[in-house]
Amino acid sequence: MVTFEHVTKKYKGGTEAVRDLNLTIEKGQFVVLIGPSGCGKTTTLKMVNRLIEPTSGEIYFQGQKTSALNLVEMRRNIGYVIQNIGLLPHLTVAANIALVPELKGWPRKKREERVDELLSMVGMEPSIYRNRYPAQLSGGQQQRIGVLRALAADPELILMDEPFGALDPLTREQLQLEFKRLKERLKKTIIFVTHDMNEALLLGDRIIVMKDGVVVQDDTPEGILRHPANEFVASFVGRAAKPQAASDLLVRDVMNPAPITIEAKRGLGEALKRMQKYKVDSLLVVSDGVLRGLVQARDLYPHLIRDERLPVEEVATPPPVTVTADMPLSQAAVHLTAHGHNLVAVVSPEGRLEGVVTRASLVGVLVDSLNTSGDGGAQLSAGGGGQ
Amino acid sequence: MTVFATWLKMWSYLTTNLPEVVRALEEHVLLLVVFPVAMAVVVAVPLGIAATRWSWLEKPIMAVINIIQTIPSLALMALFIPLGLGIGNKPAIVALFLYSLLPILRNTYTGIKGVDADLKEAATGMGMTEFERLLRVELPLAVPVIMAGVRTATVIAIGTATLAAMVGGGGLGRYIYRGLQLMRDYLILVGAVPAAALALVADFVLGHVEYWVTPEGLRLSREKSE
Ligand SMILES: Nc1ncnc2c1ncn2[C@@H]1O[C@H](COP(=O)(O)OP(=O)(O)OP(=O)(O)O)[C@@H](O)[C@H]1O
Ligand SMILES: [Mg+2]
Repeated sequence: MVTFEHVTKKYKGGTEAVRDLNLTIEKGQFVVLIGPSGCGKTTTLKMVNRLIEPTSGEIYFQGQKTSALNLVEMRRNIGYVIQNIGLLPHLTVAANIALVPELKGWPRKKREERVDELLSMVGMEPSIYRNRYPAQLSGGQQQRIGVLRALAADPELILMDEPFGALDPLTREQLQLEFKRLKERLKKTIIFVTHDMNEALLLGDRIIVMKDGVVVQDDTPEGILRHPANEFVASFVGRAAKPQAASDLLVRDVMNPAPITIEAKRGLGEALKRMQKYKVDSLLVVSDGVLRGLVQARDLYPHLIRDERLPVEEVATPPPVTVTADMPLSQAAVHLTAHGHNLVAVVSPEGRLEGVVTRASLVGVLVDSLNTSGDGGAQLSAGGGGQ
Repeated sequence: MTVFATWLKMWSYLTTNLPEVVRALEEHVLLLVVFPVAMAVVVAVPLGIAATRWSWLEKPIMAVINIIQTIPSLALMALFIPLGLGIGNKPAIVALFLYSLLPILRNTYTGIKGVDADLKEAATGMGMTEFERLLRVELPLAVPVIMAGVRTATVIAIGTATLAAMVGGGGLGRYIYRGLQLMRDYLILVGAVPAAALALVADFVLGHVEYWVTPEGLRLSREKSE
């Protein structure tokens, strides 16, 4: 899809922003360019759509030299999200999103449908947001529109320069997760620039670490984590692996991945035995790994006297509130604290039970942040008892 | 004669010669202000745009226009009399046109240059041609600034146009000129008062036009950042 061949960029004044870069990006790959400020990430990205001319070397897009292509034409087939959002303030949300389709001459009806489709995709009700102006949106919403604008004409390749960089940590986290789901659906080739290793690990299929204009390591997220090429990469990863604050934790980091469950068809008597054995007062009811509901001790007693073998599914209540593993911990915590639930089940998008978050898990987080040992979520995931 | 009596006389002159004063006012507005300013817009906006595209154009254009601006307005009008335009409204119109170029040209140039570089880059990066970018991004965002230049040019022209009478032209200046010659204070006022009122009204109205031509989204984003 994109190939860099001995690409070098020297700015006037002598800065060598990119040095002899060789890179091949396959179709469908999500490639993250990461590195400290000034290492040449933006320069690399902008050389792809020729907003910056390489000093030497050649870049290929879909097998053709970009220096020989019609730039306007090429750019319309490459989605571009700039570092500072860059929505046009005088155009409505709809007009901003539909910009490239309009340049490409799509008929109006098709453009309008596309805008509504995209807005719905990120959970922004089209009838509400379509006719708003960028000034009437929150920072997070503006950034969503920035991303949608790049997707609008369904380009083969999307370039994204720190799309979530300007946002506050909570919004950023939310958008990252949203975008992760989106990208899995889209299956596009994406070159994504960031200097946040957490973001890189969350989103990338392939991570390219740069420093001073050269590639230091080019690997999968696992490769980067397990075998950092040198001290520099290791320190970059080290920083990422330790959540800076409780607000950075995800449900996955603290959930107990082995909750105490019972098969839906089992009898009430067995349910009671399990509760006694594990010293818990409720069980998650599953069948074939899919969460069916919750059974509590107090629901058992009235029925136990009559029929010990009554299947638990007969007395179970519907699944309590559920979350997914990639949600911020704060969302699970709300259910436990404000809404008074004893536990929050963690399920996959298909409904499979993946774990459970209990009050005890939260206490674990609290203790950890008080200790400020900064040793991350690994220990915490064990602290899930008391179900 | 008291000041009060002068005003009274002006009033009676105005009421008895209303059609004539209205004609002078019309001449002033249409021939000596609207026409030259409109011509200046037609010339200065493209020139200003050209200067933003080809940077080598900026210096010579600005130099010429600045020289024009330093020539006293009456001298500029008089200059055109021997240059084949004779006396009358013609030399005045040409001078007023030249005079209006500067504020409009300068504002067009700075308005377009002032558009956020990130926005321009985003526009190019999305595949706009140079012309599309100008039309869809730079001009709409610069329109309020350009309009402010037109407003300045108009208000200046209303005042300067009173000098047209000195080179044989018409407009409200004729009363001022005649009043000065005949030493009739009230006649001076018959020209000066409507001219002053005209300037105030024009400034007010064009202020609203300026607001009105500002794209809504841009207005909102400004209000937000205030
Ligand atoms: N137009 C320019 N003229 C001169 N030097 C430049 C220019 N643009 C960038 N540079 C320099 O080139 C180097 C790489 O810049 P680049 O913008 O690619 O960095 P980056 O990795 O994107 O950094 P950041 O994370 O801060 O966005 C820096 O040292 C920068 O100062
Ligand atoms: Mg950058």
